[in-house]
Amino acid sequence: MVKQLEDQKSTAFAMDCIPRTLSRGQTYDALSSQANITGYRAVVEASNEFGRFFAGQMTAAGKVAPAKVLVVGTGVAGLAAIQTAKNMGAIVRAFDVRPVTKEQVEAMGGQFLEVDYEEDGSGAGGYAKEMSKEWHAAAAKMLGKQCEEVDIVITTAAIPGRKAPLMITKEMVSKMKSGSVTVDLAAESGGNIGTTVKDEKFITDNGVKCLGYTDLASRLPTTSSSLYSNNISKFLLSMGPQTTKVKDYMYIDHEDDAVRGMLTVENGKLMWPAPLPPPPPPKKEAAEAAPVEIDYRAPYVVGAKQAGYLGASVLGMGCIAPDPAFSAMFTTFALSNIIGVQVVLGVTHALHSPLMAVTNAISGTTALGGMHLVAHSESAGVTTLGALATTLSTVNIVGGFIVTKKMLDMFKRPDDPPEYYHLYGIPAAGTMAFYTAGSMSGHVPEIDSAAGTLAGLLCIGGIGGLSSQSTARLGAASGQAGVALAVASTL
Amino acid sequence: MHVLQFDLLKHCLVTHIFLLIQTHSGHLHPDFGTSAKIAGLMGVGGIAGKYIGDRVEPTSLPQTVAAFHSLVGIAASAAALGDYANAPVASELDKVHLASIYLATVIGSVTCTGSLVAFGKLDGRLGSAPMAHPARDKINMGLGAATLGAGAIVMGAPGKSVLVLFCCVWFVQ
Repeated sequence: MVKQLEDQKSTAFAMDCIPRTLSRGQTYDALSSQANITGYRAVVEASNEFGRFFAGQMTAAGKVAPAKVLVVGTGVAGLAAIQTAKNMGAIVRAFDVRPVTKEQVEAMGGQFLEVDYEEDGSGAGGYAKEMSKEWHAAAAKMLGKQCEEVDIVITTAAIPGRKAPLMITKEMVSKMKSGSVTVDLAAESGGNIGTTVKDEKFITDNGVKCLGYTDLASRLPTTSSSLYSNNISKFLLSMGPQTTKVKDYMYIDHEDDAVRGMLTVENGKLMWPAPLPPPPPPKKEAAEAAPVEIDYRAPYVVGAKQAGYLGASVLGMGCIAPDPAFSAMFTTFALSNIIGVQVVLGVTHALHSPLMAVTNAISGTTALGGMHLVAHSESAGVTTLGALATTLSTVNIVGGFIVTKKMLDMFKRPDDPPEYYHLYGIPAAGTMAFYTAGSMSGHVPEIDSAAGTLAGLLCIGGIGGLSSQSTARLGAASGQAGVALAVASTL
Repeated sequence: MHVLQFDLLKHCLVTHIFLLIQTHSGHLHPDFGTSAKIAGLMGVGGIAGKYIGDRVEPTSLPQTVAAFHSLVGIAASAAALGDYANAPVASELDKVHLASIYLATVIGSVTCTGSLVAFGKLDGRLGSAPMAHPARDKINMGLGAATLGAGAIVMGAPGKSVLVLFCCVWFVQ
């Protein structure tokens, strides 16, 4: 056929020759789009022949064990098969010569089997390459053992332009349980399974059904046709402007990897095969780590030193303390340090920002200092400074709590249960009224100090509440009440 | 230092200092005129805070927190300076009061500039790469010693301050 095209001086593209490593080429990669369908259909065909559920079930009539599916070759078709089998509830194991596919397999919910022999099978152009004899022996041993366990084997291993590698031998199939199914997606190029008969269903002596259909994509005609037509139209649309960026002008650009890769015959001249992109560079052997001697004594030495610093510095403060008031305040300072550390220690990562916002809002209690100044001011300059401190701090308090609320709102989901935090407003208002009445009466002078303590507790509770999602909103409310009470107790 | 850690440290310190001042100064019992004045100031601040808070976009919430926090720094320094200026005779202030005034001024200023830098970084106006000046440890230590020295002068007690200074230098090492 290529000869005929050459004679006709045609220009032809092969839709199955798109360089597979080209990420932009995925939209017009016909092999991928069809392999995806093939992988899906392979599982459907297997389940049709298989006499049991895929998913395990506990029914009143008895327990049904889940089916175990082994997928050999985790390219596009293999991954589609893994996903389909997994969605149907089967236990899926997968194997590929390219260790890099392990992550993809695990992302699909499959278990990646590994051969007890190290060799990377990543070859040129994103395909697998052929492996060494020793590797094959180790792989055969592993696959043989798996065949005894699994119910369904789906193979998709192909090396371009060569006979498909024999992965599952006749002996392995003979060890499979009766009623098991094998599906060989490489039947076209010779098959990965020893018992495969091309385009037929073959039943072995031990009752294993071996499917060798090569028309799996055609068994899903609507999907395969629509995806294939998308591939062709996307390819045509991408030609030309890809490298030249000249819109609405199509021509055959040899600089474009996709176009060059698929170009088979140009004006009767054979252009195939295009040079393959180089395989990934082999991984460098990790330098053997020198045995590390662990100094078990070192952390204790550091700890002992720190303990010494702590004792000396606290007692040192005692030596320089001018009066009992200083000592009392130093005690408060030291204890509040511990509270501060304990309160924020367990904060979940996502709540760092709201915690900072609420702490920031609470630190707006600097307003209290400003209010003192305004009240006791003896000069215009001092009044100005006090007014500045009061105003700026209030900007921070109000803005800070609004920002906190906005941040916490971002965690809200539409299906969250309703919240009634405004009910906490009742005790807050009650407390404020109680305090105001007590303070105005003048009979209970110590109520101011208690109000200060309560304000402090509420602020600490506010910061502490922000350490977990379940208490975050309550924490924000507590902080607001604390700051309000602090302002009230100062006035 | 990570922006968040830095912020957290400052928050803790500012909160401590103002708990100190608050405990020290006690209850106000202001007359009606003063109360009205304070209420007016807080009203202005509150409206400004609500205006800004309501308009901030979800993506710029963190830098808004940083910007707000620089206001706290200014407020802390202003309050402390005012407190100092308001004393009839500065030397008659007791040591605790003097120390808290000094620390509030220093920490307030650090908070202000630090939060502005944090705002700039979060808002993308400044590069976010940590600055690695070769002599940064020496500069920081020098600044720390200068701060302590200035503190000693404010406190007006040379003998004991030298002891503090000595302790701190030993501590840093």
